Amino acid sequence: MKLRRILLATSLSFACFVLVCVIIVPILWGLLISLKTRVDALSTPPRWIFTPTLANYQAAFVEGPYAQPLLNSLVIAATSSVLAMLLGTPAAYAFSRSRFKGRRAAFLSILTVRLAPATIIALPLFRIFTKLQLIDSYAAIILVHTGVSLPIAVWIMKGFIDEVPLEVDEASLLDGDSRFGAMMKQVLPICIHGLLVTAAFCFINSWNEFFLALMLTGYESRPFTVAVPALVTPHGTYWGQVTAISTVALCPGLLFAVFARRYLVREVTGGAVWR
Amino acid sequence: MQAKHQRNAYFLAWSLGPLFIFLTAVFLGPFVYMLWLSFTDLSFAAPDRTGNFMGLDNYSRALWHDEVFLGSLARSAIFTLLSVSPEILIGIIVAEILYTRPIAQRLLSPLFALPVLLPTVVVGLYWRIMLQGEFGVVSYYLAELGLPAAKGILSNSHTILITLALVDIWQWTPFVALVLLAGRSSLPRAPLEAALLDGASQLRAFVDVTLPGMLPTVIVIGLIRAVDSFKEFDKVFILTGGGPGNASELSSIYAWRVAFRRWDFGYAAAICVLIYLLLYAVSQGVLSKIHVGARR
Amino acid sequence: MSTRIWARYVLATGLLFPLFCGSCGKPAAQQGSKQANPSTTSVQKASWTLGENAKPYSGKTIRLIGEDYPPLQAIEKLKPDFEKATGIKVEVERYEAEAVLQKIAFDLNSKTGRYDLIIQVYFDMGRLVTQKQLRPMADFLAHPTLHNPAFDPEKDLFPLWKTMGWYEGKHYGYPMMALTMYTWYRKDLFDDLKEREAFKSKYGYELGPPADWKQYKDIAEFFTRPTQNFYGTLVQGKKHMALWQEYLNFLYSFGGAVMDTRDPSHYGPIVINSPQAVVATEYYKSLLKYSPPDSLNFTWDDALALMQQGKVAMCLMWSDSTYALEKPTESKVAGKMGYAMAPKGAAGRIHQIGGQSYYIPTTSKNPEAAYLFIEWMLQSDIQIGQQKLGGASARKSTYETPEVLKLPWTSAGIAALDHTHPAMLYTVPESLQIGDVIQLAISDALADRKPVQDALDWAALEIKKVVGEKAVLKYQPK
Repeated sequence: MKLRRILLATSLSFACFVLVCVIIVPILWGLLISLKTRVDALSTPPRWIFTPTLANYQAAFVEGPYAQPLLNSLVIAATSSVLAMLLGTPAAYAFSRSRFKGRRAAFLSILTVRLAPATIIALPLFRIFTKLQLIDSYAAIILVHTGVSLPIAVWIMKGFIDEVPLEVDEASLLDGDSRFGAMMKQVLPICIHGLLVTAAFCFINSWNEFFLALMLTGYESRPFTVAVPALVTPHGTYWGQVTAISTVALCPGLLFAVFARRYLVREVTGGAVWR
Repeated sequence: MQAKHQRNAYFLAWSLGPLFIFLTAVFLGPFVYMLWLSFTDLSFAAPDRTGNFMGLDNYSRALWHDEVFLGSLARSAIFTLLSVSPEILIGIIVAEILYTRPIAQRLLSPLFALPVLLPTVVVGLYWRIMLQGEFGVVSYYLAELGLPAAKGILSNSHTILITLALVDIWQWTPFVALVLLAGRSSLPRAPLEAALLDGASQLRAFVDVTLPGMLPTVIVIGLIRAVDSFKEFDKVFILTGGGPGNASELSSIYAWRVAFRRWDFGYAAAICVLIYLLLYAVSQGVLSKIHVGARR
Repeated sequence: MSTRIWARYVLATGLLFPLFCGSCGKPAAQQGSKQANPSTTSVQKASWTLGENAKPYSGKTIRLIGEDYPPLQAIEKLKPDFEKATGIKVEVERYEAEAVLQKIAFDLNSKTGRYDLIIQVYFDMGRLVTQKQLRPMADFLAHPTLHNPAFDPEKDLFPLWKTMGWYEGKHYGYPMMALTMYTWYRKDLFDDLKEREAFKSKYGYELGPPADWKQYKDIAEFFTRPTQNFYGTLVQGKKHMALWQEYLNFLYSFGGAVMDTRDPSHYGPIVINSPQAVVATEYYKSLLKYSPPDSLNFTWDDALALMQQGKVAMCLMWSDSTYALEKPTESKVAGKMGYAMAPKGAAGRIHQIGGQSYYIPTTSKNPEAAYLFIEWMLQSDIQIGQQKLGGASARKSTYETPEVLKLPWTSAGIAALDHTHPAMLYTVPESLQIGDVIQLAISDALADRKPVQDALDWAALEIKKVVGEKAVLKYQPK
């Protein structure tokens, strides 16, 4: 019995190890390419030992224009995910706690924006936002990314709120709190981990998006998803710069993930009382 | 009673009002425009096709005369199945492993966020350079390990959808696991402990108690992933451009080709509406399987 | 809850929409579209000076968009001189190739007028012209002050400027780049005595740059050594624009064509499934044996990278990226390369013409300033500056300067530009669509998803569908 336990534990750790390798190797490889010259980067057999150079970082951020798009991406993704959470969380709470006619249809209709392929919906959006002269600012793309993130905010948040027993709200309401108070003071603190994961999902959603961002931003406000493909040129792809920019782009998200990880652990949620 | 009713209306107004006002304000117009466009012949190449109404022509063409479109729908469906089901399956297992091992969870959860922090276009570029037959690191070591076919992995029209699905799995599985882990953490502990006290094995308890508890989260994340996967464009466009031939031409790539190669915006709109309707129907079907509302 | 509340939401939204958007709209800061009317009375001076003639437009801003690669980056580096001389500000937007196409399409078709000058692949010209989206250059050439009489495009530019700038006998643009394709080969290996001897004993003639397609294949076969990871040639076989454009070299050289015409803005009988085309395609496909196994996913990008790594003996490649092969920091074969014209086929030596041209959209808010900028860019000294930063000038004088002349690839490039077919890439409105059909058909043929004849027959029928009554099928598909 004990032997089986140990075997199981070892094999599980091994599986974890393999999984981590699979996740991390491509990203490390990207980091290595960013430190290589073009000749080293494209050599076969792959070179693990080489003289590192920072030339790619310099080309991308000092001589090249890629610092601004990274910043744009951060602003757009952060703002649109906060907006989506502000609009989505109360709605998720309502869908979880309240029953009304047409609820199912309303719940599904939120998904609409996400279901339509961007190819065509981008055209009217482009026309409207150009008329409103919002293309050169962040406004157009933030509004649209908020819309595309909303289904995530509402649907996933609702899932987390559903897990919170109704007694929590009822107790709060009996104490004289309003619905809003019950949501803010009692329900949301319990599912803070869900809140964080959902916000992260919204952030990633905007951070990842390409086509709408291409059409709905100006040159100065373009996010880095739009800027990076320009490094794929008829005179070769600048792999060093692609990986240098991408490696830098990982940092803010990674820092956030490191700081946020304690909230994933359920003991910190303060919800232990009712369990 | 009256007061309660009013209070409820007030609650709905502040919670749902802003959301629907926002969605209608920003998207209703464009959506109606897209719908209208799908009944017209608008083209960016032919000056006489300025958006004349032509009834259901685009739809009948797409559904009855366009095998390429139907084929691309099938490929999208296969791609979605190939990518999302492993993502969910591995995601559930990993979430369970991490849940029971707080130290591993603490160490690994930030790493799990890494792949999704690379935008999809960049994921496409990363895998392009790693799978490139001549200087790709992955194809090189696979060939060294006795898989010479790896040197043409992106040129193989038979396995290309699997290759692309694997890239998608790499990109999304860790994050799906994180979301499921959060969902797992919300579950009350008591039922599981009770089951274990009753003498159920770990596995039995997991299948009977934990899994049903996680089901709503699983379905929601599965649905959102499936919708995104069905519309997958960026990675595939960079990795194969839909080729070889049209072996990896997903429906969104076809829609793009109709719009930006043939400049046939009316027809492209019809295709987009059809994709929308299909996804809507599937979502509705899935949605009817889960409760909308907290469990009592 | 009653449905009335929902109705109210929707109603409220309708009212809120303009309000909501109005509040975030930033004030219209762009200068109006009013055009400064240049004094038409000014007498044309014998000596034309830019500063003098640009005065009416001083203080304006022109915005241009193009594909992000060294020639466009060069414009960004060179433009301060123009800005200083004229007081016209130039803003350059650089995007990836497909993004440029899409942004321009949305801008022009929505009549937004964001771009004063576009740098667009020339084979998309007809589509823009037929939609009345391009200003004819005659407007500017006839203008008393805009055109510098010292510039004579007919004399100063390569003849391909007609292909790249004229549509149905009318002048709409100027070439930014005069691209062509020729043979890149490993001179060091071709000169190696041992290799030469082995080659001669095997094939019975001297090893050298391939004179015809048979030699090309022999040499490719000779150098293909998969165990050493070395290949004789490469095929740019990904379903991508690169495939379409590389394939045309083979098709036309073998005496085939897509449509039988010599005017790129006119349709001709569809001949993509002619017997010559089948031979060309079979030949093209047979090269896969001597090309790396991942060839069906190669574009010019991979072609350049593999050549730079010294893994391929010879290929057909673009003139403009040659400099990158000779850069020691990026290439293992710098100084070891030779360049020659493409091999001879049944129709002789024929080389692809590619590249982008400058066009002025009808929606341009500052067309005069944009025109001044085009002519300024085409001056001989500016062209040399652009060439040095990685361009392929369309102006003949660029290639007469010693610095450019001494480059090892210049002579092959000029010779290639002398041996072209004016209508390989059409400028008819359906050009991109025709290219898309060819890409798909050839990709299918290369991947063995269809026999060559079937693929070409399919392409012929598809092209017929695309162009409709404007062209007939010369060879009836089975």
